[in-house]
Amino acid sequence: MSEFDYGLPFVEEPDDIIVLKHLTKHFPIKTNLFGKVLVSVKAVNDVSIKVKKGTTLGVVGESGCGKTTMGRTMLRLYDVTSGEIIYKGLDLSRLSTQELRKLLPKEEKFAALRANGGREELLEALAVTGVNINDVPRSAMRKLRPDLQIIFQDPYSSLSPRLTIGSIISEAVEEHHIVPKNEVREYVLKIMKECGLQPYYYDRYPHEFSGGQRQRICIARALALNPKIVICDEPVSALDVSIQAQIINLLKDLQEQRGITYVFISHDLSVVKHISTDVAVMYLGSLMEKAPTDAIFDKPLHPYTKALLSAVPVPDPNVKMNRIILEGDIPSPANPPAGCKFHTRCRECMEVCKSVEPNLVEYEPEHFVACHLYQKETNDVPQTPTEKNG
Amino acid sequence: MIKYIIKRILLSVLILFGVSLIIYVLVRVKPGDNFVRAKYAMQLAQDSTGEVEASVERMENTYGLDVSPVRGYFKWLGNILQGDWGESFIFSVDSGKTEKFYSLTVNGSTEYIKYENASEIPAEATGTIERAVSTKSVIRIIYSKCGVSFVISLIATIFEFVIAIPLGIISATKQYGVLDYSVTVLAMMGISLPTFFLGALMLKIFSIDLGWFPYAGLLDPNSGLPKLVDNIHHLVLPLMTLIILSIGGLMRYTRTNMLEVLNADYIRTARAKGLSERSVIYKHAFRNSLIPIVTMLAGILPGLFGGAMITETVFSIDGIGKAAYKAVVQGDIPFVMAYNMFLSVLTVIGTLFSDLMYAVVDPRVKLGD
Repeated sequence: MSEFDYGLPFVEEPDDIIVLKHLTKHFPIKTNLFGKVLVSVKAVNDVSIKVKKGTTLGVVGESGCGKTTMGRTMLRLYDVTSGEIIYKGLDLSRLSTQELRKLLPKEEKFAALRANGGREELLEALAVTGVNINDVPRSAMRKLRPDLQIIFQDPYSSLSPRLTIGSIISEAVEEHHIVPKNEVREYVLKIMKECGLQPYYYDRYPHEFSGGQRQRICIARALALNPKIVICDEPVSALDVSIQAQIINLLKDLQEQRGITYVFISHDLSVVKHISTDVAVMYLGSLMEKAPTDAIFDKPLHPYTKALLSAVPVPDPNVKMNRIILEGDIPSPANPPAGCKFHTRCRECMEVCKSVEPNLVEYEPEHFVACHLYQKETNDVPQTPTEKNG
Repeated sequence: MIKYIIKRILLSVLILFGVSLIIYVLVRVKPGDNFVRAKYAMQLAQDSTGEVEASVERMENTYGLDVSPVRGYFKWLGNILQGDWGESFIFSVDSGKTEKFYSLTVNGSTEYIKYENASEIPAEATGTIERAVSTKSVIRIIYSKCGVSFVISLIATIFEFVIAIPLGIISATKQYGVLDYSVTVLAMMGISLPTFFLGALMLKIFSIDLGWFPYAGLLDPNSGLPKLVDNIHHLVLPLMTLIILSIGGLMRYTRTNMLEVLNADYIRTARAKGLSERSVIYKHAFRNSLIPIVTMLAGILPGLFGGAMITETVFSIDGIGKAAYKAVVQGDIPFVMAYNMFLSVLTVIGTLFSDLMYAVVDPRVKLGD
């Protein structure tokens, strides 16, 4: 058991591909003369979540709730403040035996293996335990990147303006030797075709394309590396609605063909409903609710989720909308409120909400919620040992 | 592309007309008439010879001083279009031509006489000598002096780019690190120091106190060193001055552009691709930060040929910069006018060149129509 295994609301299962344990990411905004952090933005706070292989986890929440930070931290584009990000089933064969040793969890039972385990044994053990990517040395991280890809929100700024489409897609393919060098062009053209791009785009530059086409280029670029996990960071929010549907369907088709796992970050609930298997709701850096998509949309538990869902437009003018209007603004993530972070805007705020932070509990099978309204029914809630640092 | 270039060149001609008008008007209306002073100087210097009237007349003719300013401008313009840029008041250089003199012995003393026509040469002429003819033509003076300046500026510019750009990149990638701060402080010192001060300081320390380097000129016949080595020995201090002063600006410029590019999404994409940090910085970030750096190319051309006025003066290097300084101080109107026109031609060409380079480094830029 690693040090972050305390108080996990769920039990790890073999087919989980991503397991986040108490993931926390703070950005320092004010330090004293000696580099001690005085004030920090608490972008992601103690998020624990797991994702099954081949499924899509939708992450929703309003602007500034830490969705994007979580996505980027999961890819180690940012370093974590604390917590673990564990991936299973990554292709570790690219790493050296020395690097594999370092990745073994620091537990007693692996001591012997770490000291003199052979390469095969190490790979076998790591396939079961998974890899905490924070333990991966920076040099080795590069070798794992093909398995973990990201599609950014803004297709206009995420493509280098000085490279042609062909070189944007083929660059990493060559870097990681995905296919032999003389087959690269053919391979890239095949991927481009799968993503709905014409072969003659190969030698063109990004500025010659529209937003939708650019996002296809981004998708092709990510897919060319044969990723196992793709983090889609609001991939459609910069696009027209008609184009959004095309891109979402493209992502779904590719998932079916290749069994990719998506983490789909969005603030658009209808898009998330369409593509996700599970949905996680975040507010001010914390996980509020997580459940299978149907459960979230049919029977939301958390007052914040209810408010979010009530804001989804319905394309029928005769349906009476019962909107829950949230009062006030989202509090500053540099100075979040005590207790439940949502209590300042919650309709059902109780006295306990103002001082005690609710734990994420499995209220119904597979339906997790962090709210005091649902805490009493489950008595076996493991308590976090200490209040997290602020 | 060709169409664009032709269009730009035609436009440049128009710009140069404007510049020439400004230069002429400024010189003509400026108080303290240098032409008048030059005229008296000529008369005083060569009172005995009959050439004075001819020189004064020629000068008045060249600059249209005998007519109204408007007609004068066009007269001057006509002259410079025909290649007559006037004669310098203070400089003269070897024209490359020679004159032949015949020696005659009359009453025991030898005289050297120049004959216009071969038929006039008397039979008793015993021998001939050849003498180099000097010229005061400003075009010849600019031509002969800008070579030295070009070599100095070229070396300084190469060093400037080779030192400043990597420093800027390192400084940007290690933002707010110790290295970044030290480089920034040094760069700021370089930017803030006046040329004459740094130059004089270098002379004092390295030449006068330590005696490591010579303090003036480009060549010392008594040094006993091969010519090239001696030249380099003389150039160390002026080059150091030029480089220290120029890297600051370029380094800060590179740093700012790199920082902007390093925060771009496509750099995150490049990292997510799993490229090496080297390839992220140099292939993705630096190439894109080159785009604004190319604008600086416009300023390089006049810088290369125009000379470094103060540095050349401080180190007594006989380049065009020193000549221009002397001309300005001593009121050598013909030289100053020609020098300014020379600089504006270089600037116009430099700007055109940097616009063309834009299209090369940035695929989004299309030059057309």
